[in-house]
Parts: sequence; C-alpha cells; structure tokens
Amino acid sequence: MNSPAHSPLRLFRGALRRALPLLLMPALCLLAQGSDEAAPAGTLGVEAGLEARIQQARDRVYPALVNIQPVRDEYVGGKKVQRTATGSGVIFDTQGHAVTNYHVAGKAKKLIVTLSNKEKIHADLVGGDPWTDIAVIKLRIEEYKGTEAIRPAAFGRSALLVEGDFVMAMGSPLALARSISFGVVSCRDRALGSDMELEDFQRTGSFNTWIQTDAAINPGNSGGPMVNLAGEVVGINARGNSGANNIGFAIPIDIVKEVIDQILKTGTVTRSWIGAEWQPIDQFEEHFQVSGGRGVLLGHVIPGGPAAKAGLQPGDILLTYDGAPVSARFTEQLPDLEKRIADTPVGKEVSLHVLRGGTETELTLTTIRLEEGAGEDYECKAWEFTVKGITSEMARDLKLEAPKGVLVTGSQAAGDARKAGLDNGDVLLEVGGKPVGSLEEFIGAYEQFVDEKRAKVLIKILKSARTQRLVVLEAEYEKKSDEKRPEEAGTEGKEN
Amino acid sequence: MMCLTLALPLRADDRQQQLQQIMDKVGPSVVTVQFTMKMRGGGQLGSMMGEQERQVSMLGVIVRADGLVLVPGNEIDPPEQSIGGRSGGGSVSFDKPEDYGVTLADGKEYRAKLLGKDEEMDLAFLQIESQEPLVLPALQFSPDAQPQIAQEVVVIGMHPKAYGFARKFKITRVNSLLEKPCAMATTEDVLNGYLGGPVASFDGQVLGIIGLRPVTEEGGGGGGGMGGIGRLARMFLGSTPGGPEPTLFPYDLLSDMITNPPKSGSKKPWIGVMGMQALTKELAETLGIPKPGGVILGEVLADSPAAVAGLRSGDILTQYNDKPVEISKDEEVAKFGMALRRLGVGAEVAFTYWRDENGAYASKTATVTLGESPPTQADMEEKDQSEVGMKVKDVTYELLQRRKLPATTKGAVVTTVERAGWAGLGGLKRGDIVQKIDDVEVKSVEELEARLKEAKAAKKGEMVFFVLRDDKTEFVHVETEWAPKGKE
Repeated sequence: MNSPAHSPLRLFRGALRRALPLLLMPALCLLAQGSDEAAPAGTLGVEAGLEARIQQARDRVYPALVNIQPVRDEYVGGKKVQRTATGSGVIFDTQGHAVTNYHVAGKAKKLIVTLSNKEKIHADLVGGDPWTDIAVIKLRIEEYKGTEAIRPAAFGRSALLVEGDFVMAMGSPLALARSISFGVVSCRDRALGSDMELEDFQRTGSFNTWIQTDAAINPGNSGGPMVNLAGEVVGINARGNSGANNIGFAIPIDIVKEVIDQILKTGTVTRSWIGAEWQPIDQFEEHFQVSGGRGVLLGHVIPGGPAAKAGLQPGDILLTYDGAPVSARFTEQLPDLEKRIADTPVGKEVSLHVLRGGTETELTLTTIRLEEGAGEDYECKAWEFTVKGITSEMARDLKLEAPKGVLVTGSQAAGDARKAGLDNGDVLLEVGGKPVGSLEEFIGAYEQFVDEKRAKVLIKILKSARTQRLVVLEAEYEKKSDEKRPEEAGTEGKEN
Repeated sequence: MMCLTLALPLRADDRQQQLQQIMDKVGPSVVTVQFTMKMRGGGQLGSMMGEQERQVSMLGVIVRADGLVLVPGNEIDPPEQSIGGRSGGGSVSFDKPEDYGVTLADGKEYRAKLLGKDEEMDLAFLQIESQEPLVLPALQFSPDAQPQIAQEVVVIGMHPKAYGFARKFKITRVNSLLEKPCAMATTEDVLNGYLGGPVASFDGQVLGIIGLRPVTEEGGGGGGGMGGIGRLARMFLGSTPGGPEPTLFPYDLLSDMITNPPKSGSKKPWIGVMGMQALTKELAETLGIPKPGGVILGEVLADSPAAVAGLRSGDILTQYNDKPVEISKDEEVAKFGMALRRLGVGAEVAFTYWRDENGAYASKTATVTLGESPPTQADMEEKDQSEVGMKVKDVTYELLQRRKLPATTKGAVVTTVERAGWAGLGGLKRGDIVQKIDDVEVKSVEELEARLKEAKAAKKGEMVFFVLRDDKTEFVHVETEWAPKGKE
C-alpha cells in the first residue's frame, strides 16, 4: 500500500477502507429543537476576534456533546463476544435524542453516555441506517443528575459550506472525551467511491458525498459533530485516514437530518432500489451523442432487478427519472442520483426517458425495497460456530444463484463445527436433511437438533460458497453445559 | 568401546565394496541435463524483471537404452507464475527451450528433445537424438523389490556445475511408507543434488528414483482452486497443497510411464468435476448407504463430460467399468483421479452411482466419455497491444469457471496494463474482459486487434471500451494519440 507507484487516490481509498473501523468520535449539538434556522453570523459580532467566535460557537454545541460507550455483540472466532468501544454523538432535541454513527451505536444492546459536564446517563437505540452510517439514540434523561439543563445543538445547512470555511470537530478522539480540533472545510463534496463497506457485505456511503476537513479526526471522533463558526452542526464526523495527516470526513448534515426524521418516525430508513449502476457521462458525451450536461450513463444492470425487467441496458443514457431531468457529468454527482432513486416510494411505477443509440425512448419500472446488505448474525453455541443470514446483496457477492442457506462466519478452534470441517465462507444448504432457505429455517432446525441432543448431524455445504460437500457434525453436548470456560466469560474491551 | 572400534574397520570394508558395486552399476545411467531457460515478466511487478536467461542443469537418469531420459519436472516447462498481489502484481512466464544437452557419465554429449511431462508426478521425459540406434546404459530397476520401512538405501546424486557435476551418494533410510496418492516411500533428508537420482538397496537392487511428492489437494478445493497450469486436469483429483517433498518413487509408479512416456501436446483426459469427496464409513452410515467406498461429486462443471452424461453434484460414484471405487478416505481421492486419467481421452467410463432422490438414495448408471482437458488461462498466448499499453489473452472456459461467469461469456481478458499507457490512463484494469469497442463486439483477441487497427486507421482520438470487471459491466473511455494534432 505504500508503494510509490500507487496513485495517491488509490492509496488513500485503500487506507480509508481499512481505517474505517477506527473512526468513532463523540459529537455534540446545541439546542435547536429541530429548527434548521442558522443563527445569522452577524449576531456574533463582526468585530469579535476569531478566538471569541470560536468560543461562542463552541458554547452553542459543547453542552450537547456526548461521549458514547456502546456495548455490543460481536461474532468473533466462532462465538458471540461482548465488546465495547468509544464514540461520540450530539444531542439534537430536548427529549434527549442524540445522533451518532451506525458503526458506533447501530448494533448496541447497551449504551452508556457521558455528557460534556461529565454526567453519565444510559441511552437506548432508536434506530440506525448502515447506508449512511447514522444512528439515533435516546438518552434516559430521567437519570440525569446534573443541575444545568440539557441543551440540544442546532443543525445548520451543509449545502451552504464552501472550501475554506472554519469548522471544529468535537468528540472523543482516542477516547479523550470533550476534545475540540479546528480546521477548515478542505473539500465540500468529496466522492469516496461506492465500494466502501461498514462490515462484510454492508455497503455504505452510496447516497452522499463527504465534507473533507483538516480538523483532526481520530478514532473515537466517530459520530461527533462538525461545527461551523455559527455554532451549528454541519456534519457528523465519521471517517479518518490513519495513513495520512489531517484528512478526515464528515457526513453532510443535510442528509443526516432526513435520516433522523425517518428514524424518529419509523425506527428505520426505507429506500427504493432498481438494480442499476451509473457512470458519470462526462467523457462519454460525444460517443453517446448527448450534450448540455444532460443525462447519466448506465454501466451495469443487475440481472433480475427492476431496471433489467424494465428493459434498461448498459449504454442507455438516463435523461429523466420520475419526470425530472437527471444529470451527472462527474462522479461527485452520482450520490445525488442514487439518493433520488432511493427516495422514490417503494413499489412506485416510475417513468424514465432514456437515450439509446441517439433515439429517446420512454420506459417504466417499478422500484423495490433496498435491503440491508448484511444479514443477521447468529451463534450456534452448542455446535461452536457462528453464521450470518444471506441477503440478496450477499448472494450476488458470493455468486450464488439465489439467496439460500446461511454463511459460516467463524468456528471455534477444536470445536464441533471446526472438527466437522466447517470454515468461514462455507454456505450451509441443508442440516440433518432439512433444507435451509433462510436464517430462520436454519435456527429452527438447529434448535430442534440441539433439543434432541442429536449426536450426528449430516450437513450439506457449499465449500467456499462453491463446491458441494457433505460433512457429519458430531456434537458433544455435555462439555459445554452451562458453565462457560473461564476465558469466554469476560467482556473483551476494544478501543475504537 | 574397544570392541566397537575394532569391529568398525571390518564392516566398513564390506560396505565399501557394496557401495562401489552400486556406484559401478548405477553410475553410468546418471546423466547431466543442461538447458537455457528464458523467463519473461508481465504485469507491474513482472515488467521490472523484463526478460532474463538462466542456465539450468539437473540430474537425469537413462531409463531406456534407446535414449529415454527421466528428469525431475519442476524446472522443465514450468507454468506461468503469478507474483505479488492481485492488483499491481505480475507474472513470470517461461519460454520452452528448443533443445536440451545431455552429458553421459563418460563425457559423451548428446542433444535431446522434451517428449512430455507427467504433471501429477512432476516428472519429465527427454529423448536423446541420434542418427544411429542408441544402446545406452539404462538404469536396471529391480521390478520386484519393494522399499521396506527403515530399509537402508543409497541415493546417487550430482554436484553442481562448479564441481564439474561430480557424482555423489548418500546413505539414508526409508523413513515412512505413504499411500497418498499411491505407494511411495519417503527419504526426507535427501535434498540438494539428489532430485531425480536413483535409489538402490545395499544388495544392489534399484528401487526407484527421488521425485517430489505430488501435491494432493483436499476435497472441496474452494474458489481459487483452479489457478495454474494443469489445474483443470488436477481438479478431478479432488484437491490442498501440502507442499512437495523429496520422496522415493518406486518402480511400479514409473513403469507405465517408461513404457509409454507422456507426450507434450497430447491431451489430458478430463471429466469436469471439482471437489471430490470420499464416501467414508461415517458418511455411508449417516446417508444410509450399505457400505463405504465411493466418491461424492462436489461441483460438476457446466458442459463438462460429467455434466453431459447427466451427473450432478452430490452424486456418489461407486463403480467404474465394473470395478469398485474403493475410496473411503479423503486422502485417497487422488488415486481415483489418476485411475480415470490412465483411461485416456475418448475412453468411455461406465459409472454406477447413488443419487439422492428426496432423501433416499437410488442406484443409477451413467456413461461418461472422457474429454480433453480444456486449456487454462496460463496456456493462452499473451498478445501485446503496445500502442494502447496493454496485453490481452483470449478468455478460456477455465477463467470463466474460476470467476463464476456464464460459460457463454466472450471477450479478451486484459492481463497487463501499463500505468501510464493509454489503456491505463483511461482506467482499464488487469482482469477486465473487453467485450465491445465503440459498440462493436469483441469476442476474441483477434477481434480486439482488428478493432484497434480500424480505430488507428480511422485516426480515432478516443475509443469507448465496454468491459466486464469482476462480474459487472462498465464503460471505459480511452484516449489515443492517433488523432491528427490539433483535433483533440
């Protein structure tokens, strides 16, 4: 990765993907009660010195800044272990709702929040959205023992940011709570590519560009607020780059606000999917006979998806989507288009105008719901391994004909599953003669055999998701009755 | 102590004589084989090494008086090797030498041609060329002598060129007997200079030669199982690398090959099944099959001979040509593959097998006509498209199977991209399968070359490539220098 032959961008992206799990930071928000109104910069006084303005801005967000310690289950080495980390967040309403990253709180079963006045409160997960890496939590404000009122932070508008704007990153870098770093907006619309993953199979970042800043963002800053000089939250810090100096990224608050609204209403974010992959038209304009910055190039059509059913083909230029013109000359414009498609109500019949071979055609497609990329995890304690449900997205990645079976994600050393020959990446198709269509079916079969204390279970697998193989799992139920082996009992700490 | 000291010189005298006899008997059959190997690097890492030549010398053994010479196969006609990572890596390929020099123990020199190679045993056969009939001192194996565990043996080897290829020997013992994939004895301490060398017992019987233990692959094989050359052929051995080690190949492993040496270019038989698994006692019991012994098919490749005959993954072969498939351990699966291959291309093999029909196993039969092993990606010639800065190869069935792409996929696969070449600047990547250029289909390297030629003739300043990257399609815009200056 450090080869000088690599282009800086590649190097950067590679490092970024690897650095992803590192980034957790606390965010802080000022009282805004959901109001988007930015305080006019003028109220801060033109004559005020920079330092005074920074401090005023800080005071508007600092009371809403929280450090978040999530406790979550992770599936490691064939078993479920409890782990913790440190992240950041910011309170945005008087009911005690705070926003943070999905990778901080999205899978937490317990949340311990420390306010900037050092008061500790428990919180509950309201909902999360891995696609934008946003989660909303609610503080149990009844537990609050502090004397000063909890003051939420105000959201600004990320669309108004320009390169050079002063911004602060607030949070808990390396778990050092209540830290502020300062810098400028280095780039307001950085495109980071669509192949980022939050965890295996869970893509993220498809619907937004990123605010790049040189304000220091370190592991632990994740979920914390990016604050402008007006004291408004303009982004949620989410990514850093451990291989570079002062290159950090925040999710623009404009998209965060929409995600928060949906999570507060329904606990989740519902999006549409059409199964198409787009490319910017820029260099292809002449070849495909388009001009005036119109359209976007269809690069790939996912077989069986809505776009394929509607007859879309690679090489089509999409000119309008659902009645409105579409334009993406540059990569930076693609997330907007992706978001527009995603924002279409699920199941809606959408008319499209496409340019094909120089002729305009009208097509109609019906959107379907965008699934989560990664399936649920499950620990088969008695057989000493872990599995994951297989989503359509995973099935495509694994090149399975259809979503079926469950994926082995780990097996314990010298455990029953390992001895039978089950490895990470194997797909279980049949357990004890029962076909496994889904995680639920698998769990049903597994629980039944465990209840029966079935000593030998024939399992049909696709080795490495490819070659069929039969294995006989010999389960020893006695050895792991109740008492855990001492090394399993503890909670492992992991600093993020 | 006293006794021992007294006894030793006497025994040493006997042994001295025995060893001398062995050297006299075996020594003349040991020859020196020399040739020049040309290596060419490809890809980002490979291009740094460019073209290189290396003088190779190795020990060979005359196994037939008419000039058939057996040599270790590891350095003869080696497959293309990839180096470094998947992206930014490269490959090294080797040109076949025109001919080989063979120097006999008495100093006589001959030219020889490569007849062929047995990929499984990793042994190669050279034929010495001569105008008049040859009567050379062939190694006299003792067909009935079987290596015994702990048996003391003498191995004859050869020093490197710096020491004038002087013969040497080593006394060692057969330290284990292996059944994987066929009877072999190991003498693991035999390394440098002994590969290919004859092995004799102290009473002068020639037991075999030192080869490299075949790498057997464990059932399953996994997604990456179809890597290098000959792997398709190897696939139906079932297949996980254990790493080759010097091993005594007894005569009964060699006799067929000596009578009928493998020929280059002759087609390898192929059934088209990946990941075979043994029907173990445990599996037979669990499946309710009367007795163990059989081979369970892992993946039957599309359009392969096995698929054409109606076999499917999960079928359990129990008989072939009325012979039982006595495979009840995974380590034995390779044996079955070897047995099938010996039948040769075109052979009809009648199988009896069990098929799972809604949970009950039914006995069925099928006749498979062994096909030719399809060429692998490594067998394909890399064609340089220097004007756009990339190299391409035709797409093979093996590549499509490995990448799980439809067998009907056509195109030319990009094997090397110069970073600052037009293709590289446009964003083409190693592994892309070019399917169209400027909306005209590209089904092969030949067609790709034709398209590029046309584009150049038309002085096109830009081209739009349509490629399959991983399993997704994408357009790539490539600029060229062909447009007249000023119109860009």
